[in-house]
Amino acid sequence: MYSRRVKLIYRPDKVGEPIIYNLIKRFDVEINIIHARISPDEEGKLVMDIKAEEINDLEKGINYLLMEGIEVKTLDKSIVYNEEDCVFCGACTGLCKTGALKMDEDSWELVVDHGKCLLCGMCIDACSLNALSLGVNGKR
Amino acid sequence: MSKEKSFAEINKKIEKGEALVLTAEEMADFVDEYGVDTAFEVVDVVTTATFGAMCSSGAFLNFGHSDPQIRMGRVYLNDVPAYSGLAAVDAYIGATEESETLGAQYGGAHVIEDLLSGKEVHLYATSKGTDCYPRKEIDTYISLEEINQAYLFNPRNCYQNYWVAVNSSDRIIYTYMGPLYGNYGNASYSSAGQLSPLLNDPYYRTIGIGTRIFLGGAQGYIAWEGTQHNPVRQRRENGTPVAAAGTLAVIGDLREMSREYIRAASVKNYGVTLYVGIGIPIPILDKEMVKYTSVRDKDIHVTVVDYSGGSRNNPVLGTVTYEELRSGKIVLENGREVPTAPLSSLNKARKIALELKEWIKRGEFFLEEPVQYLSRTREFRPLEIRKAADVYV
Repeated sequence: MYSRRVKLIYRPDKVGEPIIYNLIKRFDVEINIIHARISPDEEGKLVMDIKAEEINDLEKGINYLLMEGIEVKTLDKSIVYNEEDCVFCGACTGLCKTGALKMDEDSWELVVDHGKCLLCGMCIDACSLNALSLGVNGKR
Repeated sequence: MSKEKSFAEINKKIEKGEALVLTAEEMADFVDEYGVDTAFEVVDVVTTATFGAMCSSGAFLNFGHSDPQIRMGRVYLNDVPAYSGLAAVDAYIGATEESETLGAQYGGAHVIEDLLSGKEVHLYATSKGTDCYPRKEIDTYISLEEINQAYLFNPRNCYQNYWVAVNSSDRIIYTYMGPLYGNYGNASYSSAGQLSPLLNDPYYRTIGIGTRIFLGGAQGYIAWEGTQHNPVRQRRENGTPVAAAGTLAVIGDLREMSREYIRAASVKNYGVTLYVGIGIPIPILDKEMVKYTSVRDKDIHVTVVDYSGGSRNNPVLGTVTYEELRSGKIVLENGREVPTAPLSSLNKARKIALELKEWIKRGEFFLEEPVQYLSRTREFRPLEIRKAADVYV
């Protein structure tokens, strides 16, 4: 199974079209929508994981989106957590809207769930000890 | 069994290795299970702790004398100005002072952390030069190991309770309590609650000037009441104040401290601060102290304040308990449900309380009776902006 996290940006005139339906129907890909903000006559934004058995299907699916005039950004970056610099205060958890960062209720250590992260970057602003950063492949 | 114990009696038990020491969290459970009477009979010391951002911190340094000597006028440590309006080679590096080259990314707190980490720190100083101190400039490196003296002296640490910060405006604001989303998007709090030292001795019955404490991994002392010590804050029946009240000035040898418990921080769009780990032992002198040290998060209330206005009298939005804050969300008086997050580390506070407990159990740490207790009546004065007085005496 191949998987890629992407951010789609729709022009306002594309918002009314069944693009995700077509994507699933034609290319047999699995879609998991993580975050979406789409309303009539506005630029739409959608973050999702797109999965396929074959890498070709995944690429074809993404090509289809591009042909439709959708801007596709691959989110290959991730939040890097450097536990050495962390003091386990928990300040980052208050800014994290998706629950990707949580304090363990027993140990009060930070628990990071990368799968829930939308890369909004607010935790980086909240961490005054520089223990969180944006990196590629888990590196700063 | 007598109705009271003394510091001396407890120290004797510590010396013999017979003292029963519990952390404040363990004490609450112990009292629930065995009751106040038994707890008074068997428990000798309760350890409390906190690990949080404490801006009013810094270190006195004596660099030793160079040859020829210099009377330092302006001092920079890794480009961070240190105050040297003191004798020739004395300086105070304040935690919040910012680098002249890197700004808020690096400050006095980082200089202190770098010294603790064993790193070399660049010292640059200038002077007008005098007959007895002819040198006008010095450019060298110092380390914690080599420097003549270095001790932490923090004018205000260890707040007895604090506030909960929220933001009612429609935009995000960046405060010393961290970023606060608009429209009550999140709430930030900063106290160790049931483990916090001054919440376990709310009337300062055992804590005062001269009290030996855990400071940054070393044995330190309470030097004075802290700046902005405000004991007359509204209190609940159990003695705990509902907002920021008492404070402590603390002192200890930086050379004996560890980076584990002293950490520099840069708060976004605010500035530099220092995370300080403090532990305070509370002797169980009488049954009153059993009651105070068994306090729980659900019994400690704290005032929620709207930080969006930036005024001295920020609007109050009711009170909540630390139990509610620890649950991850609170409900304000206006009905808003707000996610919560702490700024101080409960994880580290627990480590400190346990470490202090071990020191006492091993007979390495003894209790010190205060030479003077902290004020319970001091008035907290504001600064009014006014014209010069007309009449001079």
